[in-house]
Order: sequence, then structure tokens, then C-alpha cells
Amino acid sequence: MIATALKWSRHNLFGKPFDALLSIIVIPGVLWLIYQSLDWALTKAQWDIIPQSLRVLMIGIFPADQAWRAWTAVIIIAALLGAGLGCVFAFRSRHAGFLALVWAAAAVLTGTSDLINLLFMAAAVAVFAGGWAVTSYIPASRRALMAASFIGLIAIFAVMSPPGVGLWGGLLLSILLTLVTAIVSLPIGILLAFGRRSRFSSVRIICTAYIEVMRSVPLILVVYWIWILMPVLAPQWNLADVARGMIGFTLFYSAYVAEYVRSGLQAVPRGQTEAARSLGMSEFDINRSIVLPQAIRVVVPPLVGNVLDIFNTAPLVFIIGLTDFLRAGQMILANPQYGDRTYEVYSFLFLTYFLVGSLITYVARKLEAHLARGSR
Amino acid sequence: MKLTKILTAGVFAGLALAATQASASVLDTVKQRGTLNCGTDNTAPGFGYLNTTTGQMEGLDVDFCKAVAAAVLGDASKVKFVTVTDKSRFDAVLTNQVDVVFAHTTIKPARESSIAVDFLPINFYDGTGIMVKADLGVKEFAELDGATFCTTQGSVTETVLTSAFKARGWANSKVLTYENLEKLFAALNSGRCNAMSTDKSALAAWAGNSPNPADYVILPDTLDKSPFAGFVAANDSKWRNALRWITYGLFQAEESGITQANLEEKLKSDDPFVQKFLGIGGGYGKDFGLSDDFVAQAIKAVGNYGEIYNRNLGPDTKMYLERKGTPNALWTEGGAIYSPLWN
Amino acid sequence: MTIDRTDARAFASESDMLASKRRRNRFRHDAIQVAIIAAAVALVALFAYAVKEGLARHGIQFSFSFLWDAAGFDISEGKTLVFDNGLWPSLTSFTADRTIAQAFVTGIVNTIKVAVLAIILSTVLGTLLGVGRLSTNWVVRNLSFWCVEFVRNTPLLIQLVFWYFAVVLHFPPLAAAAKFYGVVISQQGLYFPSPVWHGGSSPFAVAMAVACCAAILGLILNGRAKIRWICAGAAVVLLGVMLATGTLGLDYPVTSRFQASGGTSMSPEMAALLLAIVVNSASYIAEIVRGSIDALPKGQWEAAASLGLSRRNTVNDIILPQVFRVVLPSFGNQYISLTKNTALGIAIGYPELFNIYGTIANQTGHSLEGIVIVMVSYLVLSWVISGLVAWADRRLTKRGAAR
Repeated sequence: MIATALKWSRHNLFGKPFDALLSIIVIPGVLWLIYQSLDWALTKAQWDIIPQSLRVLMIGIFPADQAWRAWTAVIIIAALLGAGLGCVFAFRSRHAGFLALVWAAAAVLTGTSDLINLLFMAAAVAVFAGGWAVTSYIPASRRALMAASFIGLIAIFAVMSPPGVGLWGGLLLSILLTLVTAIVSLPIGILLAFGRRSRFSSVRIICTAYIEVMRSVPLILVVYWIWILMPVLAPQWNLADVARGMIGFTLFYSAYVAEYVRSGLQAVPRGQTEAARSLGMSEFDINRSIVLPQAIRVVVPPLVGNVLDIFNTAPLVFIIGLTDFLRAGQMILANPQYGDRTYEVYSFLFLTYFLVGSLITYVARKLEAHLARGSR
Repeated sequence: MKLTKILTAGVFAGLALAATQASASVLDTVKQRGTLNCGTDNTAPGFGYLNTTTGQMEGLDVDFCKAVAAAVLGDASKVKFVTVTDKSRFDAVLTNQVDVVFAHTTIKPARESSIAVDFLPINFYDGTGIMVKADLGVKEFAELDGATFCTTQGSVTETVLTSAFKARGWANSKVLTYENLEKLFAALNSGRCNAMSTDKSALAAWAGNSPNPADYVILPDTLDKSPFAGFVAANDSKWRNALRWITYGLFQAEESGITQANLEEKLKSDDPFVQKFLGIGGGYGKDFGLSDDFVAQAIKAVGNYGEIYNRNLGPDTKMYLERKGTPNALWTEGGAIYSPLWN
Repeated sequence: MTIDRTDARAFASESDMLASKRRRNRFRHDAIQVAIIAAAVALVALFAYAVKEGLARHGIQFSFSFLWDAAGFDISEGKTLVFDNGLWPSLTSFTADRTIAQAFVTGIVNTIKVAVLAIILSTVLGTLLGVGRLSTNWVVRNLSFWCVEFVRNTPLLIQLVFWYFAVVLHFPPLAAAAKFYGVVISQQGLYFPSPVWHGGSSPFAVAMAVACCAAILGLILNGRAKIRWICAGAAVVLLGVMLATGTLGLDYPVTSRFQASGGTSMSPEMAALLLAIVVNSASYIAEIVRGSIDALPKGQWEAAASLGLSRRNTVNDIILPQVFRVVLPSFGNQYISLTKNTALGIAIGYPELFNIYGTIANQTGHSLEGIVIVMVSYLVLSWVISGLVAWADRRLTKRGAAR
């Protein structure tokens, strides 16, 4: 045992003089850091603030007696995510056990004793598994996914709107914003990508200009701009802040999606279109049923990465006064009596962001490996 | 080409329609919509902030929003609070995102002349103050030459400080601006800012709500007056007048001794002044496009001005701001809270 | 397509048919082009009209004349262009009596300042992290991996706020500041000693200074190791002589009650923004570097090993030069997104372009005009960066091809 450890460390830590030097410098530092963080997290930190303000963190100032609406939205989101997952990874029975564990862990970690919340949580997990199973066992259902996503989004809006769109907040707002942006920017981005290689130079120039301008200015600027401009342009619509934020995000990320899709389009061999053309297919049919499916296949991993980008930039909505997850955390700290809990709240925020982010990255990597295997 | 023409014509027609619609008063829009979009701050204890334990908005400005919702729509719960920052509040009302803003905003000529908003009656008299940490040992503003002052972006304090430095010939003092008060307070606590400068009420609120209020000293100097008022988009006298008289109604109610508690009783009063004021058998509301009992509705929802003040800034609150002897007292007690004559 | 086929039957000869088809196609093509352009122009005109109408409803005039008004507000740090002495502009600290236009310039200068420093530092740190991920040392490899993962999977904004409020603002206050050889680290800012010229215009001193600059330039620009060593040696010796004779002095920061004076300083806001952006961009750059090292044929490593090159020499002389040629366009994209990310400075009060725009919009009410200025500024910045990167790319490939 000790011998193997020694052998391992001789090989991996002290293999060469330079490595040994690095090890001597780095290892004590890392150990000290781990000790300090653990010492703080286990003995000094006052974690009670997290369960106390969990509701504000999760749904912001959404009224507590309307929580069922938020839960319904969560369940719809879970179904959509599950269905999305099922398109690529087959559902296995061992996954069910794993999901049950996730539910139990969530229940314990959030420390909720409210039966209704537990049931809703269970329902979300069950629906996630259900969506996953449906698309992995019934391939025909995958085609309906895009339509289902849009219907799901509309349903979420319908359920969440009555208490007031201005009340959306917390992690739920971050996720909704990400979801709406990711789903709506996809068709727009595809159109822009095709527009950029259109036969008409005018279309090409307009699409290219749009993409390049959007990629050259900061997102925060686009969001702020849309926010102040929309009401000037269309005062009769009176769009809520949330909706304007979503429009800003969608306009911005459509340009990025367009670039990903374009790289996918370039990857489709020319011979494919030529062959289709010689079969007498129309340009539209060629693009829709030959080029696009192959292009999308290639760009799924970067598109999933794009979802992570959207989620990671969602806190920028602070500029238009929305209370997303990060802002909700800051609002708890704004209460002067919690002023000394900075590290506790930020640790929780960092951890949550990291968990969600890692999950998305993990899925993207798996997808990449999966698609690479499939194309062999 | 034809298609473009048709499209263009269509859009222009739509715009024309929009223009006519937009020229209607906000008052009608609010009534039609059934909710009031009210812009408030959410980082200003005492004026507008989110009580994280109840998840409710609280504060003087918040109560004014509720009073307006009650007076216009007959239901104080029909108000939607839209968070505005010092930076976004004018854009918010200019672009119709909110119908009215109550966000501890100082009246300034430039704001009515070049930003195109109209202010409502002053509902709180404040002044620009300076707060330092007690351990700095500073007793008055004059000792702060060379210090870093922090304030919020877009507030009048930014220019007030600049001219105060200029008047004293301080070349090394710096002004650092943050986007909201909570960051400002954090920066003061950390020591990044030697002094925090904003309205005195806000200073009192932040010090008072902190775990140890004795750590902070609010300097006696008042750099400038800052009277607070709500505001609406310019050129909508119907909406503005309705709001002005709702505000005056709350002032008058205090002067006439009508409170949330004795409202039911007063509604049965046979004093013709009180009857007309509260809208029994005809009142003033109709002329403003409101219901006759609009003042009664507002009082029912939040009480008179004195009650609003006490609830949010009174002795029972953490940020207690003395009312007596300041302009915030009723004019009958030597203050400046004064309603025009109701008859 | 199908319509053309039916119409074409009327033509007798095949060439006639083809020519006509081409003509028709071209005509249709042109017609659609014109229609699209007309629609786009109409849309833009409509947009402008709607904005103007919308503003008119609120009694606002769309005009840029406010740019020449006096600002009336202070900016905590930053220089602006001043034309006080004739036509030649100079950089001077911004004060409240300058114009709004000069306030915008201050914002642009501050943005560029952070962006340039961040580009340099994040390239260095990113390359180190990228190479670190392929280290033979287990701890270093995993540490690099987890750092990169953590940074990439969390929002930049929370990192920035954390760096500022939880790290930089927890530096000691000025009175108890940490001092290392004249460097002062405090929550009021970082202060460094700066060189000061005492030599006047005596020819000997000036000659030494010029020689020293030349040596440093040679060190940076020359590719040959021998000449580099000579340049480095010369620069050190010359610097030493100048410092010893007092031609070149060091201006040390002196702390007073509220601030330090002398030397060069960096505000806490800038330090935090720089830290956040450098660490964040470095993680992305590390991924780019690692990705392209992985993409190099394995044969390169094996060939180098069979020649008896050490791993470090392999990385430095074989792998990295090839990698840099491949990754330059990706670096360019990262540099652009890094520059755009400086706009987050508004969250911690760093007076970059977007932040100053916010102040101006609020003090003057001209938010739409300001947006145009800010947008154009960012566009130009992005174009300049991609232009520079493309230029560097061309130079590198040319040099590589010549070898």
C-alpha cells in the first residue's frame, strides 16, 4: 500500500527535478488552502442564512402563495431537458436510481420539510425521467422536440404570468432566460447562417453586418439598448423588463448561433448538395433535409456550450433591474444585518453556478464524444 | 417592390395608430390595464426595499405607490413594483415602462427641463449628507480634504460633491460612483471609501439597520438640500394632476386628523368638509378622472402622511428620522408639509 | 427554376435557350436584390422615424450638441485628450469643467487601458495554464484543470464582484498597508515606484537612455539567442549605471492619511477588473492552447524525444511555436470578447466607457445618442483588434513559410 503510494508519487510528483521543484512549491500551498477553506466551511461559516433565504434565491420576490406556478414551470423545464437528453443518450433503468438519489440529495441539502415542496420536487424528477425515456425509446418523438419546446415556453409564460412578469426572479429567472434565449435564437441563428451564404449579395451583406456588429459589442450594451429602445419604438406594447431582457439576449446570441451553424454548414461536403441537385431537388429541400441535419449534428456540442455561455451571462440583467440568481444573493447581503455573511452567500452562489455549468459542460463533452463515435 | 410598399404603408399606419394611442393619458391606460406599474428602488431602507423575510416591498415610496393604486384602481394590491435604480429611473418613466416613479428623487431644474419629466409635490425633505466610519475620527466635512468620497451613479450627489470640492479648493479628493447603495455601503465598510455621501435619510437607514449603528457617524454638515418627489412623464397633465391631488390628499388627511383607524367613523361624519373630502355624496375625484372616494381609498390602504412617515421612518423603525422641527413636519407644526385648500 | 424550364420550350436552339435563361435569371436575381435593399432601407428609415417620433412624444431632441457642454461631474480616475496648447492633443486627468465629449474619451481610454493590460497578462497566464494542463506533475496538471474548469463554468460577473468585494477590498487599509520595496498594496489602490528622469538634457545621459531603449527593443524584436543575451546584458548594465549616477531616479509612493502620492498607482476597481478578466480569459486561452497542443500530431513529441530533447525544450522549441501559429485567430476572438467584457466594470464602479455612458445619460438625459457613440466605439475597438491579429497572423505565416 505505502509502497504503491511511494511509487506513484515518485512517478507523478517527483519524476523529474523540475516536477519535484513544482511539487515542493505547489503542494503545501494547495494543502494550506484546502485546510483553510474546510476550517472555515465546517467551523466558522454560519450556513443558516442559506435555508432561510432559499426562497428568495430560487424565485426572487415571486409571491409565496403562488409557488405552485413556479413549480409547474420547473416541471415543464424538467420535461424539456429530459426530452432533449433522450435524443442523444438512451435511458437505462440504472438512471432511474440515480435520479432518485438526486432527488433525495436535493431534499436533504435544501433542508425542506414541506411535504408539498418535496412532492413537487419528486414530480419534477419523475417528469425529467419520463421525458428522457420517451425520446430515447420512441425516435419519432424527437422530431416534435422543437415544436414541443416552443409549446413548453408558451405554457411556462401562461402559468407564470398572472402574478406579474415583473415578479420573476432568482435562479428560476436565470434558467428561464437561458432556456428562452437558447430555444428562440436557434431558428433565427439558422436563418442568419443561411442568409450569410445566400445567392443574393444584399442578403449576404445584411446578415454578415448583423452578425459582425452583434459580435463586436458587449452583451450588456445590447440588453440595455433594447431595454430603453423598445418602449420608444413601440409604446403601445408595454413589454415587461423580463421580455425585453429576453429579446436583447436572443438578438445577441442569434449572431453567435449563426456562426456556429455556419461552421457546421461548411463542414457538409460539397458533393452532398451537388448530388441532391442532380436529383432535381429544390434548393430549399436540399438545405432543409440534406444540409441542415448534417450541419446541426456537427454543431450540437458547441451549441450546448453556447447554452452555458447564455447561463453564465444571465446575471448581466442586473443592468435592467431584474433580480436574477446573483442579484437575489446580493439583495440578501444588502440587508445590513446579513452584511457579514458575504462568503457564505457567495460560496453558495459559486457552487450552484459551478454545478449547473459543469453539468452543461459534461453533457456537451459527452455529446462530442458520442457524435465523434457515431460518425466513424 | 410592391410588397415592400404595402409593408411600409402597413407599418406607417401601425405607427400612426400607436401615436394616437400613446397620446391618451397614462391615467386611462392604468385604468384599462387594471394595474399600476410603479417604479421604486429596492435598496433604500425606509423608502423602497425588499423585506427578504416576508418577500414584500416596504418603505415610504412603496406606500405612496400603494396609495396611488388604491386611489386610482380602488385596490392597493393592484400595484406592480418595478425596480428602478438611480441610473434607470428617468429612462423607465420616459419609455413608459412605469407609470410613475417614487424613488427618493431630488427635484432639479435640469430634470424637468431637459429630461422631460414632471415632478409631483415634494413628499420628503432631505439633504445631502456625509457618513464616515467612527474609527476614522472625523468630526466635520472640512477634515476630509483628499479623501475618497463614494456615491451612487446618476445621483445629484455626484455634482454636489464636485462643486463642494471646487468651493474649498480640494484638488485631491475623489468621487467614486457605484451603481447602487448596497455596493456603496459595502465599500464604506471595507474602507475603500473614506466617506459615503448620499441623502441623509439613506445614510441613517443604512447605519440604523447595520448590526452596530455606533460604528458610523453622520457628519453635521448638509452639503445641499434635496427635496424628494415622485415624477411622471412630461406633458400629461391629467395623470400628473390626479397624482398631485392624491399626494395632497394624504397631507390634508393628516391635517384633518383622518387616520386609517378612524376612517370608518369619519366616513359617517356630518362635517361637510370631511364629507366632500372623502367623497361622500360627491367629491373632487370626478374632475380628475378618479372616483369620488379616492382619498378615502388611499387612506384605507396606507393611512395619512403622518402614518406613512411613522411606519417607515418613525421612532419604532431602525432608521428613525426625527420629524419634529424639520421641514417634514406639518405646516401647522412649523414644517413644510402643506396641502392647498380643499374646497 | 421550374418556371424557367416551361418557358424555355419556346426557344429553338439550345444556346438561345441557355442565354435567355441566364438573362431571365439575372433579371430576377437583380429584381430581388433591389427589393431586398429597398426593404432594408425602408426598415432603417422607419426605425429612425419611429425613434424620432417616440422621442418627440417625450419632448426630447435627438442631437449631439450636448457633447460640447461642460460635464459638471468628476470621474474617479482616467485621462482625457486635451487641446489646451494648440492643435497637439495631450493626455490630462479629467476634471468636472471638461466637456461631455472628453468624458467619453476618458471612458474609452480607461477601457483601452484595461483591455491592453489584460490581453498581455492573460496571454501569458493562459499559456502557462494550458501547458500546465499537460504537465507531467500530477498536482500541477490537476490544479490547472480544476482552475480552468471552475472559471469557465461560473459567470464572469460573479467572479468580478467576488474579486472586488471579497478580495481587493479586504486588502489592508492605507495606514497598515503592506509594502515591498516601495510597492504599496492597500484597499485604496496599488502603488508602484515609477522611474523619474533627473538627467536633464545632458548629452551623455540622453545617449545612455537611448542606448538602453535600443537594447530593450533588440531584446524584444531580435530572434537570435546570442544577440538577445547581449542586449539583455547591455540593458541591465546601462540601467544600473543610470540609477547609480542618479540620472534615473525612482519616485516612491508616499502614503498620507487618505491617499498615497507619487509613483504610479492602480485603483482597486481597476485591479479587480483586471484580475477578473485576466483570470477568466486566461482559462479560455488555456483551453485553446491545450486543444491545439493536443491536435498536434503525436509524431512531433516522439520525434523530439528520439532526438534526445528534454520535455521542456520540446514544449518551448517544437510545440509552442507551432501552436502559436495555429491559435492566433482564436486568440483574436478571445481578445475581442475580453475587450467587450471590460463593460462589466460598471458593476464595481470602474469608470470604463459603459459606466461613464451611464453617468452621462443620467446627467444629461441623452441616452440614445450616447448609445450610438458607445456602440461605434466598441465596433472600432473590435475591428482594430481583429485587424492587428490578422496582421500578426500574416506576418507569422510569412515568416514560417520563409523558413
